[in-house]
Amino acid sequence: MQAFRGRAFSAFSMIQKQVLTRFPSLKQVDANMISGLSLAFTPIAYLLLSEKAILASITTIFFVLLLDALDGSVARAKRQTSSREGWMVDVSVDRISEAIICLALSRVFILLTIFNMGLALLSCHYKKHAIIPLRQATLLILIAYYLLQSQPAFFILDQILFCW
Amino acid sequence: MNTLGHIFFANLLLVFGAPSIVSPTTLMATTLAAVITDLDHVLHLRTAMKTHRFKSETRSRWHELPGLLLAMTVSTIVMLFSASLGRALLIGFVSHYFLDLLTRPTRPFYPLSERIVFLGLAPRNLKKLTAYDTVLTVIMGVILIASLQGQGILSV
Repeated sequence: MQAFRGRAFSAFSMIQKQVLTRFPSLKQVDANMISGLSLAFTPIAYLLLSEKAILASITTIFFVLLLDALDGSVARAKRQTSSREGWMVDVSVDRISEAIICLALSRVFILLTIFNMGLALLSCHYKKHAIIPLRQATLLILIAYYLLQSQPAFFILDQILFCW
Repeated sequence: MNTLGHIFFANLLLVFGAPSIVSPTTLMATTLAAVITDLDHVLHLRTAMKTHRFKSETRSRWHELPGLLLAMTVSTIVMLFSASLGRALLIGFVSHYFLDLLTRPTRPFYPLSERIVFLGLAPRNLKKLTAYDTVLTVIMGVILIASLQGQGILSV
């Protein structure tokens, strides 16, 4: 699991580096604005999920996550690393983005979003970052859902994801 | 975002994201949830009349993440009694916080932190902001009315 996480993380950072090399003008953009763009694209993921357009929603959530990760890289590239404000922008955008995505998902995800929001407030109070990567988990579950469409496990995933 | 913008956006999310539960009751619930968060502005109405805007300092804790946490919890409890009503409320509440974070300077962790966060996707100049809000509101209003007419809920 640890090895998988390491590989996934390095693949994701490689994509980030590629994007920044291909589009150097991105470094001129304000990091908060990139976070804002990532948030602005979230309702599209919600609409696609509610239509059960799985592949399209996987792509959109991936794009949202990529933009979200990119803001950190841009901030570092521009030496904009006033970490407290960056952390607040990042965490608040992430929580609202999760809340929008969970609108199309089952109650399990709504409860997890509420729990995560409580964790974010506690993190701010105790100045220790402890948050569940809910969107990343949703993305993995959606990929499994897409790949297992003809398997018996599909029914269980369908219940977890979409049962109201 | 202005009140009408909040109402239109919340109802758009309901109509396009959860068409199976759209009814006059759920539309009303979403509308109520989308505007109720702004009630804390009432206390600062006099100042806002002079400055022509509600500053981020006029937002109470119920207008930030702690408020969203409470609103989502309340909606989840309502869901136990009526799934569609709870979902409609949830959409209304979440859409409000989404639009505010996207277009206004907010203090997301207030009262734990007073730091103001602005994502820079809307202008800060009052005239430009009014124009930006108006254009967005009109676009959302037109799409909403057209979709409600298409579904036969609104007949003009």
